[in-house]
Parts: sequence; C-alpha cells; structure tokens
Amino acid sequence: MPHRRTLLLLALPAAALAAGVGIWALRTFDPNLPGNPFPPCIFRTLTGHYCAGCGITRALHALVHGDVATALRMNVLATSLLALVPPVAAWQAGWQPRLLRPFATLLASPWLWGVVLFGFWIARNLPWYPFNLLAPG
Amino acid sequence: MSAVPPSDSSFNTTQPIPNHMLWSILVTAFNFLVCCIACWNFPGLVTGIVAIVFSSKVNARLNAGDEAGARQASRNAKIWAWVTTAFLILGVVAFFISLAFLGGTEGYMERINEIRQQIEANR
Repeated sequence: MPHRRTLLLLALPAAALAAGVGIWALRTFDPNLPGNPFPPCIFRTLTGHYCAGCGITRALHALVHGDVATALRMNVLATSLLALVPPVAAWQAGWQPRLLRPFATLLASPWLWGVVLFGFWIARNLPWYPFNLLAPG
Repeated sequence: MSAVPPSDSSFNTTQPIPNHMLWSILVTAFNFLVCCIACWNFPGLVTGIVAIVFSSKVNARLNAGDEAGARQASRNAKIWAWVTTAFLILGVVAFFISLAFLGGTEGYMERINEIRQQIEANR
C-alpha cells in the first residue's frame, strides 16, 4: 500500500527526531535538580494536584539511565505503557501468537482503559498507603 | 454463486479484518498522559476516541454479519489511529518548538503564572 509507506516516511523521521532530542536532553539535564530546563506539568502548577502524566519526564530520565525501578516509581502507568509499545506494534504488524490472545483481548477494552486512566489520576492524589506509592517522587 | 460449498483452503478464506483496537487505545492513552506536559497534542485525544469507536464497530458489525461494514470500520479505525499517532508525535515536536519561542522554561513558567493569576482574578 503506497498510503502506508508515505505515512511511515512522514511519521518515522518525526518520531526519530523527537526521540533523539528527548534522549539527548535527558542525558544532558537532570529533571530532579532545581533549575532544570524541563517544563513542569501545567495541571500540577495550576491546581497543586498530580495529573496522570506527572513524573513522566523523571521516569524517562531514569529509563535513559537504565534505572527501571525509579521509572516505575515516578509513573507506573506511563512506564508500563511504554513497555507495551513493542508488543503492540508487533501485534499490529501481524505477529499475533495464540498464547497472547487472551491478554490482547483484555487490553483491547476501552472501558478498562477509561477506568485505569482516570482511576490512576485520582488514586495517585490520595494521601494514604497504598495510593501514595503511585505519586511521583 | 457456485454450488460448491466453501472449502477451508486459503483461497476461499477471507482475509481477517483487523480491528486496530490495541493500537488505537495505546496511542490515545499516550496522548492522554503526554497532554499533561505538552498539550499541543490535545486534538489527538479526540481523534483517538474516534479511532477507538471505529475499532469497536469492527467486531460488532462482523458479529452482525455485516462484513462490508466491518471492513469500512476497520479502514476508518486505521486512518484515525494514524491521525492520532501523528498528533502525538507532532504535538511533542511542536511543544519543543513553542518552548524555544516562549524563551525556554522560564518564559513558559511566566505564561503559566499569568494564567494562574487570571484564574485567581476571576474567582
């Protein structure tokens, strides 16, 4: 399909550029230090509460430095979703082993994700154990 | 049509119709999370939900026996999933560019503080 090729040719360089700049920035600057050039979350600055995406920069910083445990502590959801990218891309490309089929069916449920995303957003703002483990930092 | 019942050879089996659900959901979830920092990709949330709706129609129509409709939904889901992916990538790139124009993180923080003051003034 020529369609697909054009889209890939457009998407891949942009994605590679974004990833390259991102990795360079994360290797150069540390988002844990004061005065770092990474912008903070708008939602957190305005409301004082965490959003579902808070901690992604620090999680990516940890990942770029090979520290998976810290990445998970900063944003469990984003880090897990990142881990899902290669298998889902392979699934999309046609690699659909029978063994993973129940798992894929479970993940292919929009309502589950709606609950997970908004549930995560609310839960990480709750100050008690075990929810406070979800908060970044 | 022919009187011969369809055999299960690869010639006769119709191609499976992909519903693109996993892809649609994953890019939409990423758009949702990234929106916290780089909200240029906000349109990706809308197109992502459109992609998910079309994805969910594929199997529903297939179960109802509407194969042409399922194929149509599959095509639409694919298009919208691509659009959503593009919003995700371009949103992040556009955010870096806008950051440069605003004068880095400091200019960005000034803008946010202006917004915060406006919100407090309207209270």
